[in-house]
Amino acid sequence: MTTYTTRFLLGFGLAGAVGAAAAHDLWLEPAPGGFTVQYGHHPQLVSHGGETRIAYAPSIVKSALCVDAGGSQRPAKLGSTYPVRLEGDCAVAYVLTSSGYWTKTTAGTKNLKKSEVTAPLSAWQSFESVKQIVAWGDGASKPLGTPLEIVPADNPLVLRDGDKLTVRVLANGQPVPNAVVTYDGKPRGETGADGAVNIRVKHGGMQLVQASVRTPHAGPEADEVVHTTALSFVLGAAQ
Amino acid sequence: MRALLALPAALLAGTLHAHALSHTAQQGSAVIVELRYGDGSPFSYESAEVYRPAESVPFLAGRTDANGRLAFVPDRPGDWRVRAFSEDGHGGDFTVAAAPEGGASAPSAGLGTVGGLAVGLSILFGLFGLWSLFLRKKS
Repeated sequence: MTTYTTRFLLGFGLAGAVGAAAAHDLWLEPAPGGFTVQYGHHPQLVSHGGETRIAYAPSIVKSALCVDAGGSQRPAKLGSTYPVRLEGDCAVAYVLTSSGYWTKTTAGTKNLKKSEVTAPLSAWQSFESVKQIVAWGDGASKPLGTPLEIVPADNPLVLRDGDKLTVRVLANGQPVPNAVVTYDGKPRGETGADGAVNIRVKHGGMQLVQASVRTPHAGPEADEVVHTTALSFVLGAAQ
Repeated sequence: MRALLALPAALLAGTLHAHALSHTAQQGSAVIVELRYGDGSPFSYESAEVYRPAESVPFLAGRTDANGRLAFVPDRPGDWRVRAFSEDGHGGDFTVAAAPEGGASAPSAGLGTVGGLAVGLSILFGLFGLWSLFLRKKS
């Protein structure tokens, strides 16, 4: 809750507050024989103010990878109904989704290409991905080579509340400098030239580290590509 | 205070035609809420709703402006709920403590056009009377 104390400025009484427009999270939830792809507000990400699960069109799930304990990578089998199910005994699971093109107009943001809207203000193609680390090994410590991913420098499953973790943000295996990395939805730092940044875990249970990268879009459908990726793991899962 | 502010506005009220709207421009007190994305850019042109304390019908429904702001004039004290949301999944839902200008009580409904004109004419007649008295004393 915000309380206002100042009310008058230059004849017009103004009281103001600034709020952040929170986005939704993409995460993988363990299920028998695999995972389900969830979207909304994760129940353990307290800063988002409560759990919300949002039904999505299964078609937004574009691809998935499953990495076994030995580091072997293979495409994962995906279900076709909500919530989309990812099959496999994965040490690391990765899912890429795309909700398509979005265009900002004076009547709000529309799920349309720039060319399909009258008087567009800006437009982007949206991608979201998530990597869940279940067990530490080569599959978790090495890049998957996906369009965007976060790779921890050390085993995050053995961390304790308050410990520091170094992560690297990589696009197709290459470091991404100047990417803002968030933890629990709050910015914690910007990557250096090597794509690395340090964060500190602040609670137990599910962890969600996110980074968002904007790059120019090649065609007339949008101005840029916005890709948000997440790294998730459960603190203390190794014990 | 509100009534005093309403006087010049009532006197300046436009004439009503069949499909026309009268309008007034008032100086008063408003609550401004500014919404930004996580990267600091304004949450502009998106849907927004404001609810009176403990009410479920929006007091205001509209869009944020180009700077991601919305403004409302509270007519009662309490925690006002603000909802703002976009089709692509961003949004906020929170409360702000706000009260009407000058106190905790809700203002009166204000002067209507007819009432405003009546008060305005009364003031004009009063001024004319004072001017007549002044001229009579002078002569």
